[in-house]
Amino acid sequence: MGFRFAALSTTAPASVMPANSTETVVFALPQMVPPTDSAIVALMWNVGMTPGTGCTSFRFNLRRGFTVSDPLVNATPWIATVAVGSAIQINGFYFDVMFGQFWPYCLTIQQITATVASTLFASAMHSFIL
Amino acid sequence: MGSRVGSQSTGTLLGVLPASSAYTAIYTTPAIITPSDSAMVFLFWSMVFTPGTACLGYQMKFYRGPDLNGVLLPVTWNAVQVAGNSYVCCGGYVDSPGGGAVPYTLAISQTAATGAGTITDGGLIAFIL
Repeated sequence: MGFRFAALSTTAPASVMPANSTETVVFALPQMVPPTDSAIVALMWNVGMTPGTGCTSFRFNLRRGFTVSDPLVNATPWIATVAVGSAIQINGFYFDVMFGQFWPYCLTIQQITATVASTLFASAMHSFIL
Repeated sequence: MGSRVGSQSTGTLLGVLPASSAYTAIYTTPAIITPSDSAMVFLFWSMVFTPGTACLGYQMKFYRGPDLNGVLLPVTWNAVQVAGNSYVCCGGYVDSPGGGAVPYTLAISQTAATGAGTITDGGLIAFIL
């Protein structure tokens, strides 16, 4: 049978959601070693969240690194309008083209105008090299 | 470890959306060289979409080709949305073109729209299994 993609995944949240709109790392993948050509790294995530009090939207960023100050992979923040107390499942798919360096990836969330932490459930992040 | 598969990708939005429900191509991959057997081509897309005035959501279609004159794949996605809200949208599908250099095009219709919606980010990739 088959073959293997180089791949990484996690279902373990990296942080507890804060009771404010501070950008927070929710998933961080270990370092991935892409080939030295222009290989595509596919990035997939799904987030189940129940927005906390005051939250009007979630703002997602994929970053090349472990922290909220690392470079963006997406061109602009991904914004999803939400309603307080209504659980929502949001899936994201994106890709990065790397050139043979050791790169971790992380997903961050801002709970816009939140005053109470949202609840994270049934969430995960994956990456694999094509 | 691991292995590589044939793949193509694009994150380049083809143009602004119209102020109507006309189907509009938003992403087209470069041609991918497919095997002549019944190999599957996986297609994944994403977009961050804000519906414009009067828009009730979107319909999305895939074409095997560089534009809306290509072969329509047998799938149409529908989503009900609210004008002015922002949505993170993704989808996946498979094709089995049976050979040739094949680009893929993703097209959107903004249901009942009288004002143009906006796509702020997204992309489309194709890879062969």
